[in-house]
Amino acid sequence: MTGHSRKADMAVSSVLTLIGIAWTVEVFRSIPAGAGGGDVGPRAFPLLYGVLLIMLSAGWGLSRLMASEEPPRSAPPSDVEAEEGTATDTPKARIVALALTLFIVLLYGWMMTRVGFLLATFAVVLFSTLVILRERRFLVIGGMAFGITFATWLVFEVLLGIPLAVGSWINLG
Amino acid sequence: MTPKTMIRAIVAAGGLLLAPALATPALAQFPDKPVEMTVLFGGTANSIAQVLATELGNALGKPVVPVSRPGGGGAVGYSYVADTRPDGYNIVWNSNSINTAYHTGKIPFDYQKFTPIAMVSTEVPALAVKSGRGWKSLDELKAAAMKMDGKLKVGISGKGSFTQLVSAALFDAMGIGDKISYISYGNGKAPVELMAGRIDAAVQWPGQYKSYVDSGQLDVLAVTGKKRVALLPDAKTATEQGYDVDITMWRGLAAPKGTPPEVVKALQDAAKTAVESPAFLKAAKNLGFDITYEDSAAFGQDIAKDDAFYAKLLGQLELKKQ
Amino acid sequence: MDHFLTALQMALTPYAIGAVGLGTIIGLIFGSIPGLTFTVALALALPVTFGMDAVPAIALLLGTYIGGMTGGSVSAILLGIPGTPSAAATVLDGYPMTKQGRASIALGTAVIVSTVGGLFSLVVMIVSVNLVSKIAIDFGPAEIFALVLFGMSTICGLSSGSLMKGLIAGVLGLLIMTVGIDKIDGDNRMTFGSVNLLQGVNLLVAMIGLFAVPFIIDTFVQHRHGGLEAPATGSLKANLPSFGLMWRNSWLMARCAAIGTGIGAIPGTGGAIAAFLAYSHARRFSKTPERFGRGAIEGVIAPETANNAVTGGTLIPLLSLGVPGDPATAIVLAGLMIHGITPGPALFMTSETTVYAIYIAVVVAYIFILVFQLLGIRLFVYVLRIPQQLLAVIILVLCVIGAYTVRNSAFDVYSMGVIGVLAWGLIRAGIPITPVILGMVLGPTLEGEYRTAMQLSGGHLDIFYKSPVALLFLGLSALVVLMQATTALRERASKRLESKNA
Repeated sequence: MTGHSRKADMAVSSVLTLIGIAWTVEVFRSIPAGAGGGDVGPRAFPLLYGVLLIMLSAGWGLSRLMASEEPPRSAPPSDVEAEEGTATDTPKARIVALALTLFIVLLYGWMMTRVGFLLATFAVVLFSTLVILRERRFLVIGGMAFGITFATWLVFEVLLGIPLAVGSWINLG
Repeated sequence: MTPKTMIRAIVAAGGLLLAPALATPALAQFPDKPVEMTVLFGGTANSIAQVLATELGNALGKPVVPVSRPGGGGAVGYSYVADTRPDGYNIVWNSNSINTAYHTGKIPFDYQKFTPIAMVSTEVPALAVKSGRGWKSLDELKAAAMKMDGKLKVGISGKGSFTQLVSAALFDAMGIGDKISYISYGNGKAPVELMAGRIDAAVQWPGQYKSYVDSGQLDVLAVTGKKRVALLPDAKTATEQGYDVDITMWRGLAAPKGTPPEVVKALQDAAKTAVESPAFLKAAKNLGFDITYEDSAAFGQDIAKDDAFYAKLLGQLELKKQ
Repeated sequence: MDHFLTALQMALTPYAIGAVGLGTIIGLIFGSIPGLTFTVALALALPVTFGMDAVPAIALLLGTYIGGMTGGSVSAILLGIPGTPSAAATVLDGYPMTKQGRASIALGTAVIVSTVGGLFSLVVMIVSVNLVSKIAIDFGPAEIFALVLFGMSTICGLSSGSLMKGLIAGVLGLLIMTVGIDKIDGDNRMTFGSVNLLQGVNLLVAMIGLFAVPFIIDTFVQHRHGGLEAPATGSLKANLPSFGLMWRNSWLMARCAAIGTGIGAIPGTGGAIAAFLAYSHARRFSKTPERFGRGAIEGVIAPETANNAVTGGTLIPLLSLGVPGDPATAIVLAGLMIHGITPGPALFMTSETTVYAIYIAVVVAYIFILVFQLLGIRLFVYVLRIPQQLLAVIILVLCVIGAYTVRNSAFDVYSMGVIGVLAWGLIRAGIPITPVILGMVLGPTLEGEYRTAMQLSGGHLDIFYKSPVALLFLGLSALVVLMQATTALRERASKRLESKNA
């Protein structure tokens, strides 16, 4: 995957370098060092990884900075790349989908502990089909929400006896 | 799966629709719904918990569901249960880890956040060495350690782990506390490391040594409890050999503080019935733990006594954080 | 021989066979559904076995273990979401094959080579359990550290584009796993006073986030803009791999089975490292390494043979030494213990019959796998007919269930979401995900074994260079890194030359 612009690569490497620096500083500050001798201590490895991350990310960024020109795309495009970057796939669409997915996962986790697994699943599936997929066919919406909720309940709770999350406010099943 | 669970599935499916209408009033006889038992560790702790939960469920008339909440040396599970409603429907399969987790700074609260229900079992660590080293007793090990140039390498499960606390107490009582170098192993690998000769001794659980003792490859020099262990009847206690050490790991049940006494009583009685069941006796024999039932009051006193003991021990080891 | 006949009678009762069959199905289902993992399946199966006789109980657990290990490849191939960490290497070539409409060939190959790998390792175990367990004892912390470092070096071969990006990804994986309580000293690391962070990041939860969440996000992105093409139903026929294909690759299978068995026999390493080592081995010794990562069948054969060969290999330390190799076998160990079968050297003297019965159960499990999965391929491939946006919602629910059930913690659901979003960002930035999972799998072992080794030696590094085995693996790691670096430099030089000439 050499098709990324130099600018984007530089941005990513800067972010990763900053993460590395923040990590290293916090590790150094908060984890006690080993006693010495045979005791390597709990700090050595996280510190090493942090420093490695800084060096690698910064090194990558620098190498992109030094590169005088965009490297030619020599590798034949693989299928993975072919699928990405379709014309319809705009940056804004990506951000929206990203935010919605994160929101729905966090909401799901939070709701499970409040209203129990069943209601949370129903609500989340309903939300996903209606808002994220913008589905308008009633049969699909209803089928998904009821179908998935019932199927997961039947399989996990009843047949397999997995203890699913129970709600602290209300709880069904 | 089985026809029985299939039927349960169908009945339960119908029940779901009716459940809100039939919701029972709050003052019903305990328990009127399944009890959730939080399990903090895998391995033996989990195996005992699974057997106990089944038997507890039989005794209570409602299922007891063991739910695994591992991590943080018990901190995650203790925090979860401590925050639940004190109605007896959330109990925890606890152990000495409540004392050590507090004093090593893993949880911000101590054992007083819980109401003891009953002590159920105890496990006793054991000290083993490779056969053929010429050490048959603690005295011989002590003599060898004194003569050694370097330090005696002792395999444990990790710093601050129960096996290290036991080792520290034992070797201090033997007067060779400063001749020991601790080596941490996960995954129960210490017996293999003994066999390979990379360490000189190991303090682990009897079940891990059993097969090696039977095949004559390892010798168990001491167990650290008051009584000998059924699994290794030939292993003497440290007290028998003149060293005053009596540390065992207990396991038991506790509920959040504020649980009504009659609910605690119901759970305590169920625990008594459960530990006397044949299935539990069989599990005790196979897994190598002792059944040590104690009622709520006695259990509470033991936890308090232990808490002071571990506070002191962890302080000596410089592991005490709060 | 008497023992063997008794064992046959014990292991081939309808009840015991049924138990293996049930276990295999449960394992296959949990392994093949994205989000669910067979470690959870084993934890569920354990209490069910308490009421059973010893042999059926162990047969059930082994069936679940083996079924899960094999099932992990299904979602790896169909959706690019590995069912177990051991199947992460299978994604690299299996998923591209699905995109080319060759899903059923990949699935069929995976089943067959899994069975071959599994049975190979069983044979090795039967004939050489004593020898292998002696070798396993010789692998101390220093040797295991060196071996794991060698496993890490396969990262170099995984990052198709730039070595640098692969290494960054690997370091990120290593870094994440240090959060939580340090296993050796018991100190809190990077927990910021949070009890939830004390438990650290769970490998399985992270794996779900890394692979499944980006899949969901991408599907949503494309669906919102109508860019979602009809699924590649072009060749949904359940084509099975030809005999010729299998025959041509038999030597590769043999080598990868040997790698898997060997790795499995060393406690503390496990399926993932075996699969990655086998993959990079296959690529390195291939005449056409450039096909790898673009749907090469060898890229499915190698990791799938190896990760199932681990199942037999891992039984060696489990039964002969009582040491479980990973969380999954730890549950099998618990199942053995509760039925009064204490693994260790005495097991082969006192319970020879049970040991034979275990061997037979493994064989039966593989027969079941072959039958179920070859029949199931039609069904599995059918998943691709489900409109992909709806499939994404179903996977979302399954992943949340999966992440939650690992430790029954809502925190794990949150961390799955966050890791998934970050993973999507990394993929966008062209940083590969597979090295992250490799770093996460190997990180804890790498650190733990190094520190234990240093405790043993009192801080002297000579523990590493005085051991021939450790030295061998350290040398191999250095060799791999060196070779990769020179290849990369040469490629860059030739590219520069090309662009000048152009």
